[in-house]
Amino acid sequence: MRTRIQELRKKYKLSQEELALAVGVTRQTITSLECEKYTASLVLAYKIAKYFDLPIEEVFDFSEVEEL
Amino acid sequence: MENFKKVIKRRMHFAAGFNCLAVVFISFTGYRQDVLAIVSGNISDMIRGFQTGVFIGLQLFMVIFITKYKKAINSEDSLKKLYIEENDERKKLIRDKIGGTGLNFIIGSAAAAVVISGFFSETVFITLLAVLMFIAMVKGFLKLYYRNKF
Repeated sequence: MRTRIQELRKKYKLSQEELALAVGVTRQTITSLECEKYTASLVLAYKIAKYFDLPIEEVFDFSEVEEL
Repeated sequence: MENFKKVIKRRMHFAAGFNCLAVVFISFTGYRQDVLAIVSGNISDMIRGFQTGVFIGLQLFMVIFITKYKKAINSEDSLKKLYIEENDERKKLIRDKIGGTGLNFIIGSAAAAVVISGFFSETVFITLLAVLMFIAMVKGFLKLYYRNKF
């Protein structure tokens, strides 16, 4: 799933490690999310969106899911 | 986090207990060969060496775990990192995909069977050892595959 995590991270000058620690996952999970290898759970998506103070759909691109 | 701290303390006690048992096992198999000879005849040096090696290896692992856990208990940051490391959702997914809990149980049982069979039959010992190595290899390959996939 496409996400804006990398873009938002760069905007707020955050490292993967800092974001990972803030949302309670490992740095590798953030890497996988950014590389679109892994799809976040609802809880993780909520935590990330809340961290950036944005609605979930502005961080995660649900267009692929909507097509189904 | 308090619950996790209790879990860590319990694991430390288990590791310390295991180390004591391992010391007893190593000393018993090393010094009381006369008693063992009654049960197993002349146990080959290779098997005895393997058994001792397994227990020393496990003891080293336990010491590493105890050190890691002690560090985590003394520092909130380390405790949080350890908690995240163990409860990361991607890692949990990978563990579920490879059947981690089941495989670990099988590996543990097979390892115990290998050590015990060493006292009775060399053929059974080598067969079980081959099975154990195969299972461990399958687990390793699956872990690598899913780490790359997710």
